[in-house]
Amino acid sequence: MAELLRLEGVNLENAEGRSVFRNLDWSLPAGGRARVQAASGAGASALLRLCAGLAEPQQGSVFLDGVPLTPHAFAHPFLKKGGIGWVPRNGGLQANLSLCANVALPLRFLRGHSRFRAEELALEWLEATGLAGRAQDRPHALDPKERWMGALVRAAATEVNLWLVDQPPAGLDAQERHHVSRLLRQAAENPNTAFLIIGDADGGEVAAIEFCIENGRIVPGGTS
Amino acid sequence: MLTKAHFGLERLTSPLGGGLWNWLARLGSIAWLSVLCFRQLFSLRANQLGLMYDQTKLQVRFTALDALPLALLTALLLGGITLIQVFAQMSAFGAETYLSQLLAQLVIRELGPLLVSVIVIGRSGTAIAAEMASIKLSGDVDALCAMGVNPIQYLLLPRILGGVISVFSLIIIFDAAALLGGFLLAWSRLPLSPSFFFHALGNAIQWHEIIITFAKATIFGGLIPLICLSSGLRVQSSSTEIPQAVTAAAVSSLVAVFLVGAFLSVLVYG
Repeated sequence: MAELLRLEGVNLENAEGRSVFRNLDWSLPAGGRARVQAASGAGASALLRLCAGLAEPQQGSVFLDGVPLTPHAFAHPFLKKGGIGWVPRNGGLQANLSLCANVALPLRFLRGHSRFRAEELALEWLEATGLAGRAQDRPHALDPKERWMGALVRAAATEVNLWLVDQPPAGLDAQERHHVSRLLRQAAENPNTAFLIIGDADGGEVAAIEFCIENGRIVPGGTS
Repeated sequence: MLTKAHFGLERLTSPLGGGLWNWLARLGSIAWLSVLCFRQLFSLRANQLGLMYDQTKLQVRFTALDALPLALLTALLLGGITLIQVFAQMSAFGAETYLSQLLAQLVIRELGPLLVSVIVIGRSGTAIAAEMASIKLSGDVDALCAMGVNPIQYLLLPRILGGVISVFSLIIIFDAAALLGGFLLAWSRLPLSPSFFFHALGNAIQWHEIIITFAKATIFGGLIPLICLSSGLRVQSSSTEIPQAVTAAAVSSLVAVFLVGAFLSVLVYG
């Protein structure tokens, strides 16, 4: 399968100048399902930021769908079509919008739905995930797990091609785990949808290929 | 990456020069942001206009509608106070007949646009700077970028358009209220007949005045949100930068509005 995501000779340092990745080469094909296990501070979130074009490597390049990705590149064709489902640990929801409006935002901006249709779709997705009761709440009123799940719903509703999923901020209970697994399994029914999941957010049901981050490199196999 | 050395500006890193370099950098970032906004305005798709309209409407509500009581009170008092002061001076020379003409020119040409700008900077400009700084630090801007929602189109353009519409509307309402305040005072306290007041007012307000006011409204309305957005988005990593960004936004906007206002007045009336 064609490569959807490719990191080529990437060197990345964090804000304090500590090296996070050294000469990193890694790729994910379209439809690839990768899970990355990493110790705290090993660079799992930095990897997601690199892949989303939010961090600029000191050296090397990131290619998304064959096109080089520069940080905050609004003109990148893959980003412009809303190809990435961004699920950071804090959810990344817009603080001044309700949960429903947050899920509806990419549907309106990227998919061109009317406000009514976008919010109707958003509500359907929220109901399927057990979050319909919180639909009109703003992010500050949600607990951190609900914010993270809201970001998952937002990505699912947008029908993205590449899911970048960080770990939830706290352990999910059995019902939440069930909702999350069902959502991700449903998204994984599309064979072209790729996943890069940190930790075991999917309950081990979607991402089959395991990697771990060791000494600034991504190597096959699970760990810790 | 461009550095001071590229421009041969190493000398500007002295204490005084460092400030100049920062000032030039801020000016550069505001100019660059305005170019980006202008470009992105024309790359909006038709099906994104509904969302833009909603966001702009929200901004107009916060900037114009919510500021209306304050603007009306300020304008009514200003109109009355100005009339009292002008009457005291002019009656000494027997020139009361020019009272309403002078009031109209003072308010419409200078005081209206300037005071509305001060109100908008104090109420909305600082709020825009704080909001931008806060959402940048919390990762909301990053989330928009990653999702493919262009933050310039979604966050910046509605605030700038909302600023232009709001300042424009507020200036018209402010000028009308200030003239009304002047009229009420003249009618109740001074020996001026309403018919004479309005006749002189009608003669004083020419198309020339209206066009200049509209020009000022458009420039100030675009400049204030642009400067405040730029200040808010300059924060890097710490929440302690937010009050600094808000102060910088308020000071820079005030300086810009006074400078541009003075420049336009000298250009047109000087």
